Amino acid sequence: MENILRHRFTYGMAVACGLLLMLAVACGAPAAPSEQAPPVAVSNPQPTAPAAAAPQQPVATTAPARQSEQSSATEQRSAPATANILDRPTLNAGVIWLDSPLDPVEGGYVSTQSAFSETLFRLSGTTLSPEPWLATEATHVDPLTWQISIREGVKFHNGNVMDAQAVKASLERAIRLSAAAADTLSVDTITVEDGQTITITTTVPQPTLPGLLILPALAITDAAAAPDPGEGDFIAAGALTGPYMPTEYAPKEYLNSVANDDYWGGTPPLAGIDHVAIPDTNSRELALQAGDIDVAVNVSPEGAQTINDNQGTGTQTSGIGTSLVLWWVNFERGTLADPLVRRAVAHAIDRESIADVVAPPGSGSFAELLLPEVLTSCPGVNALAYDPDQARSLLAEAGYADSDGDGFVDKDGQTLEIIIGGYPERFQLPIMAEAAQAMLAEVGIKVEVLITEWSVVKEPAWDLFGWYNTVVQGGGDPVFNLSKFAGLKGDASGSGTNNYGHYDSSRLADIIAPSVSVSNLEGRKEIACEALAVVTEEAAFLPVAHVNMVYGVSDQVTDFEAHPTSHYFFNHRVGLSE
Amino acid sequence: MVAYLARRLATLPLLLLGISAVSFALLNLAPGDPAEIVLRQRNPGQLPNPAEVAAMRVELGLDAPLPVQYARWVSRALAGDMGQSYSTEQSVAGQLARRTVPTALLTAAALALALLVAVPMGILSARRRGSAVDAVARLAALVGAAAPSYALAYGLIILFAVKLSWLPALGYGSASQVVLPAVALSLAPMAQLMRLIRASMLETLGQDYIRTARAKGLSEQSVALGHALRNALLPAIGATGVNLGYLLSGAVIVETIFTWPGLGQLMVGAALTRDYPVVQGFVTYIAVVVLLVNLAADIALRVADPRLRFGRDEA
Repeated sequence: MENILRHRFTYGMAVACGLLLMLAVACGAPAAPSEQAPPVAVSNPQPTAPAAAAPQQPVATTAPARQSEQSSATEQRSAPATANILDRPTLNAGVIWLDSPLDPVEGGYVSTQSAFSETLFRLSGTTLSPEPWLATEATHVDPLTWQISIREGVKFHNGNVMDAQAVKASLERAIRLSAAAADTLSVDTITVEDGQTITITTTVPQPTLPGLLILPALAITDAAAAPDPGEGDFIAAGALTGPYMPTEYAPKEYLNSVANDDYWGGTPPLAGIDHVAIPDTNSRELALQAGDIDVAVNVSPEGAQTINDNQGTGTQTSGIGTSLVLWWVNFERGTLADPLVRRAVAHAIDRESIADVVAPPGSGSFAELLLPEVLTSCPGVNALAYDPDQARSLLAEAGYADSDGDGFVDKDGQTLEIIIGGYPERFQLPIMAEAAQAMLAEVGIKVEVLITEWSVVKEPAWDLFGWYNTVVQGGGDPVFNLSKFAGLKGDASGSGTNNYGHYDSSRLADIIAPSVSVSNLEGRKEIACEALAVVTEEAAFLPVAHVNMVYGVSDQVTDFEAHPTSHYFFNHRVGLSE
Repeated sequence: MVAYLARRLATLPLLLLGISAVSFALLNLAPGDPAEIVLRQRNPGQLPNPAEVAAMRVELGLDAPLPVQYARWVSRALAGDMGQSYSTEQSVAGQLARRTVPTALLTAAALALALLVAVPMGILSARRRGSAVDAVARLAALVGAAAPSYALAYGLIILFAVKLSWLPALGYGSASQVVLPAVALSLAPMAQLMRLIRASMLETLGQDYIRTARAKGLSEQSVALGHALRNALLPAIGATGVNLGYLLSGAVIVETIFTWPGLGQLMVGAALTRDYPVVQGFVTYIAVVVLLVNLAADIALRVADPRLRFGRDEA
């Protein structure tokens, strides 16, 4: 019996060891996305063809009568002649989300971020104005008409040529399938003038049309090849034009790509870019430090410090903070529908101090205005300043007092309590909520913090909801962005109308209405400032900070450009040194 | 034994019905209209109007009373159809099947690791009670049991991936990538099993039959391994079944931190996007797994312990 038991014990151990061995073997069988060998299959391995377009100047204004490309072609062709794809490295990137479909018309910002798709115009990383991309020039013929020249020598990933007819078909497909695209452009007709020129007429004046054409949903797609959403294999269609071509996509997991060696801007120096979704900010930062990824998109201030201290990694910060963190104010729940309470809340929260925490110097600035100062400055329009005494007196004026001595004000037996919501993926939002909770308690307002997921913003379950959004949509047009937040325009990401707080924007609509006939930036700034004064006075939103894009980057990454927006993570120049 | 097995198997469907009914009811109490969620997913950028929402409610069968909806779900689930994901429009059963392999690998590795360390350490700690080895083992067990898995996970990544560069920080697919998540997941059950085996071994070593074995002149090693171990391991067999439930729930956090594409990560994503069919499918699926594993553990216990086999329930 002793022997039997001893043998059983030995067998048990042996089986356990065997199990571990089997696991190791089993785990080793499939190739990890991050460890895959560089892809060997390239659908269009033709040698690089230089572009035919002449070098031109980038456009620096929002809506000039004539917008033309000047230097971007030269700049974009600067990539050196590159080795065989098998000899090039693959870059691994860690991103927050990978949940958007690749087809641009399905809200597919992923394709533009990942350098798969391109629009006619793109947002300049330095001036934040629209600059030619797949277009070379835009001429404002009359208030309702724009003529756009299309770049020559561009091919879709499937080898089809991108000409005026293809661009027209792409725009019409986008308008047919994307509500955001249709709402943004208000197109009446698109006409092909010649092989590389189209004319767009709109139903309402669109003085900033080139800026609107940066919308990711309007990325130029081979409409003849691309299936409608849900009806085919978008990857196999090869319907995009960018320097990288998607090869494999598991939403919420990974997205792999190979270089498009026939790219009009030059051969990319990488074999491909593989993305992995790492929603947890700490994990993303640690993965970079461990060398598992080469680029970590969006790192926290604390993480940035660690990454900079770590050997072999560093951070790159965009020069301009274009992402606004703000609180939506819910006008429908009742509590904050009272303008006195709303203003009291605005005065009770020290937003400038919170901005110092969530966007410390070098990575952002206090959002004194709804729009960044680089886009517009509105003298005389100031955010409601931090003033707890003023907040207390406004609450008293609204009929609130601490009648039961519990430290919180009440009215008609009801304690004044608000819910501050947010979502965890943007590390700024929980910090903002907890800081505001403490500050509001100082003036007698009880706060429940509800950090959940972002779509809760669409439900009447909160009073303030933390939000993170770019303010340079529409090509940096201040009127467009203000309209977007007030729900007068759809969000350019394709996520539909914002105005989650159900703010009554009718007063704003009247102020903004004349903007349809104003094409110069200064004139549009004036209109935006007038509208902003109303928004600020009504405490319709509570902006906190303009946050720069901060990327964690391995020292081996070359020519990485930290674009100020989240529209473009990569381009055809980014590479990896040995 | 057969009667016992039949009785246990007969209760399984009832338990599953109860668990799935509770989760079904709770999900229906959660805020948000699934019909609206589906429409938003299918038509991004468009606000569905009430007529569209009403039509979608009919299409999804949400217009029926809750018990009817549940009955329909059960009948479909019995046929292997657990519905479609709201967000990906893929089959829930298919997603669960695809994610099962990574989670099974991680859980099995963690469980094996826990047993490999806990069993010898528990025995050693009991045999050398009061020694430095015992003190270290008890302290390690205390830390392992007390430390939250997310803190352990980050600590392991910082030490072994960032500082030492021995192992990758995340990912799935190679043997090296399973090590850190498995260790992070295994520490708590390892600590619990070690303490349990130590206590059980100490109790067993004090039994009369052990004294008899020693009186017969057997070596301490023969006494411990040949006479005491089998009885000392009995509680661990039961605890292993219970620990599997812990491992599966712990995997939700560990998989998220290590970007491990398993059931836990699927569950977190589904819960955050209110993908109710996936959440319901996950809860039911995990319930089946845990119940079956516990049944297997009970059977193993009866095989190992004749007192249970020939006890009152066999009479």
